[in-house]
Order: sequence, then C-alpha cells, then structure tokens
Amino acid sequence: MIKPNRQDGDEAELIERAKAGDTKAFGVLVERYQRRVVGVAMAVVHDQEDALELAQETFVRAFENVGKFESRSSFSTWLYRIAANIAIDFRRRERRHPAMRGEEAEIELQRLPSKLGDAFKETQRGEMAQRIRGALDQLTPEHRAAILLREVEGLSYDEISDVLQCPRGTVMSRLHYARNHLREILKDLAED
Amino acid sequence: MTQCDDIAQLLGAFQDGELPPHTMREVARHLAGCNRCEQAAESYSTIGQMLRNAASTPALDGFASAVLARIESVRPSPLTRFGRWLDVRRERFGLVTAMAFAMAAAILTIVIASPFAHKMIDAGNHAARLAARDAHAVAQQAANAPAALASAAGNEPGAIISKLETSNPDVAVWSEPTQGTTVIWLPDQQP
Repeated sequence: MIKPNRQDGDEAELIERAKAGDTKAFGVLVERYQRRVVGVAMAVVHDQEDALELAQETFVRAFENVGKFESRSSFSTWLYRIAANIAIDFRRRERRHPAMRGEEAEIELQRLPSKLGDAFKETQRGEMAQRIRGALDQLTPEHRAAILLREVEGLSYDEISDVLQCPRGTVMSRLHYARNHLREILKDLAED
Repeated sequence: MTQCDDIAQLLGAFQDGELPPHTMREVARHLAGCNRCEQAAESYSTIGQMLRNAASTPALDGFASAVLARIESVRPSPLTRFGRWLDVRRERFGLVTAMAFAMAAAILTIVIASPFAHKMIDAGNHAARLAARDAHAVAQQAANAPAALASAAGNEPGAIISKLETSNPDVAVWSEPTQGTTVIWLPDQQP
C-alpha cells in the first residue's frame, strides 16, 4: 500500500489553521488521527489507560508545537513520533517505579472495575488473548513496539524507523527477532 | 549457513512487501519449492493475525473534545501565539515580509490598544483644537484691527500693527504673529 508522504489540500489547510491557533481545525486533525496515536502509545506502553492519557498529551504537545511542523514531512508520522517519544519517556519513568507485573498484575486488573480496561480486556477471557499478552510481555519494549506498530498499526518500515528513531535495518532485525520469539512462545497456537 | 537460514531472515520483510523487487522474486521462488520455509512464513502470518485480533479498539468517544479542553486549559500566552503567527507568515512569505507584518501589527497594536497612545491622541486633538481657535481669534482681530491700531500707532505712517494686545492705555503691545515679532510701547513719561 502506498501512503502519501505529503498532506492533501484539506489537511494542509487544517494544519495552517492550527498553526494560526484555530483549535477547531486542530480538532478535526485529532479526530482523524486519534485511533492511530493511541495505537502507537499502546505499542510502547502496552496499557490502554496509560495509552489514552499519553495520546491526549501527544495532541496537546502537537498543538503547542505545530508551528514548527514542516510541511515537507508527513503530519501523521510527525504525530506518531511525538506519541512514541512521550510513551518512551513515560515507560522510562515507570521503570524507575515499576508497576506490578505478571500474575499479580493480572489478579489486580480483574479486581479493578476500570472504565477503560486494558487493551485486551474484550478478549481477555479467552485463553488465546491471555497467551498473546503474556508472549508480548516477554518481549523487550523495543521489540514489542516494533511488532505492534507493524502488525496492528500497519506502519511501514520507514515509518517505524522514523517513529522509533532507529535505522531501517534495526527495524527489520527487531521485527525478525520479535516474530521468531512470538512464534516460539505461541508455537502450538501458530501451528493450529 | 543454508539457503533456508538466509531466507528465514527475510521472510517477515517479504510478507510485509518491504524487500527490493529482485529479493522479493528470489524469496518467492524459494518458498515455491521449500515446504519448511513456507510453513514458517504461514506461522508469521498467523501471529500477525492473532495480534490484530487480540488488540481491541479503545473507546474514543469524547476523546477529541477532552483534548481540546486540555488545550484550552494550557493555552499559550498571547506572546507565544503571536510568535506562532509570525512563524506561519515567515514560512509563507519569508523573513523580511514577516518582519514587515510584525512591525505593522505592532504599530497597529500600540495605536489601538495603548492607553498612553489614547492620551497622546487626545492631547494632539486638544492642541489642534486650541490652535484652530487661536487662528480663528487672530483672524478676527486682524479683521477688526485697522481703526484700533491706527490710533494706537499714533497714525505713524508705515507702521503696520496687526494685533493690539493690551487694554492698558499707558502700554501698547504690537505683535506680528506671522513674523514672531513683538514690540512694547511705553509713552514718554512727563516729569
């Protein structure tokens, strides 16, 4: 699938208006990219509630800095990069104050009547979803982000490279590692 | 390293369509004749599908309005907004034109918004009104001057008195506004 690197006329106009401080125009851009931005944040932090909060922060920061956006690049990739940076910073902070992991976290999650729930809440009851979640948790954040950005968000290798700020070759090797690792963990499911 | 090992490194990128055309052809040719690599490729596809199925779409109702409310609450200062406005024009028209825009905007802002400027304008208007009134008064006096001035000048030939500025009969003041000249007359005192 070929993705346009430049904005269409409508988007360019919305961006110009947002640069001039027009929040309504920026609201249209938020509507347009909210799902993807949440997805990028999810790929890094792997928690829906955090991802939604970080996505909001992404758009606020994007609005504050939209004047610096250069139309030569893709607005969507620019947004995703902000989202990834914010999520990576968040994850680093969290690492200093680690949250509950593994079984303890699962039990706590089931106890909490969260409105937003978790990324896999809807499918959590199924064994497969739990297995996949467990497998993803075993990946490093870098490998997990790469595989989720590719498989769930459908970003190209160049976009992933841009968003995660690493060379294209690194994206390829991370994806290769993540796929092999998941295949090994989920062997029985993948071969059914 | 066998050919299968080499191909295995490329299977994911092959399925993503991210390899150069000639490598894509090479991998496709290998897969057509290698059951093991074909199965590995299929398992990659299955894993991708499982990840997509497991990832639920979050509810985003009200998300955009929450973002906009948050933006409003941290709205930048007018100065920052002006800087942003300037950035847009600089990008569109170039630095010099943007500076011209900025200067024009600044002057307009000062003229329109500044209380000091309002005072200055009021003072200017007041001075203009006074000047107009004085000019009118001078013209009136000039028009009435000949008779009064003739007597004050003692009918001295050649004296042109355009304004007599005192009511004291012992002192006469001759003033020529157009030349900025003033002469004060004091009659000879008798011992």
